[in-house]
Amino acid sequence: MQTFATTYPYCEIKDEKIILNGNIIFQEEDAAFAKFIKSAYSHLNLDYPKFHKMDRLCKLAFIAAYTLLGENGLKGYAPDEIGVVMANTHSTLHTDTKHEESIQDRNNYYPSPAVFVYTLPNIMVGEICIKYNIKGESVFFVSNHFDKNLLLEYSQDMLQDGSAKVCLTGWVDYTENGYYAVLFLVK
Amino acid sequence: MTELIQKLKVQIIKQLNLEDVEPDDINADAPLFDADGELGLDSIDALELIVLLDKEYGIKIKNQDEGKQIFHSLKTMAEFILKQQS
Repeated sequence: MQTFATTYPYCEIKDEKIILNGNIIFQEEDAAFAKFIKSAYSHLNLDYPKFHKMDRLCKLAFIAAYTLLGENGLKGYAPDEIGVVMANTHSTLHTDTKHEESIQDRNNYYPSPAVFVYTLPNIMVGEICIKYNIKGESVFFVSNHFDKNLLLEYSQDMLQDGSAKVCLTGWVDYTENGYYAVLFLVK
Repeated sequence: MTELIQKLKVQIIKQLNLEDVEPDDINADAPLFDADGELGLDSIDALELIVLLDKEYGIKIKNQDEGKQIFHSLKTMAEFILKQQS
């Protein structure tokens, strides 16, 4: 997995570690994702009941955003001055599969609204926007590979054309086989 | 009643996909839909609870006002279920 050198503040989550601007701030070795992300929530002293209802992809994005921004990381910006540019490869495949399983049996057919709402990847953007009251432009790409330069250039274009004054930008991907998140604060 | 409340806690955790929450984390008297509450449930979750009552107990909620009272807390849910079953 690549390691980032960037002039922008960033948070990276991989291999049961949370890394802030290159420094490991939390790790829990050999922990399954559910245990790791719950421990991270406690470590950050978060008190946000909605977190417990999120799917794993959103939890990953939320913890990355909170590590980077804390409670006040976007203070000083109007809601419509904050943009969000995010991407991943597997969209919401983990939750899509869970939803698909819930509608397999035609005789016992109870699709779950709480699962279904997480079957679009821009819900991840939405959860972050709700937490930080972000009302600026946002975009979510599903692409084959993580192109950091594309995302950063897109964000810089938003700053240059006045669409935003600051942009939360990055990649958050989750499957049963692994996860990776990196978010930058482009300003 | 205590047994039913404990069963409901487990069912709600499963139905709402609250994989971080343990049954003991849920206070049976606390409002389920208080924004600042321990679960902070919303309208989507209300649908889930309606589905749960139908699926697990064969009870259908048709009146919205009735639903507000039934889903106030775990305790009120349990009381309603027991009343329907008696």
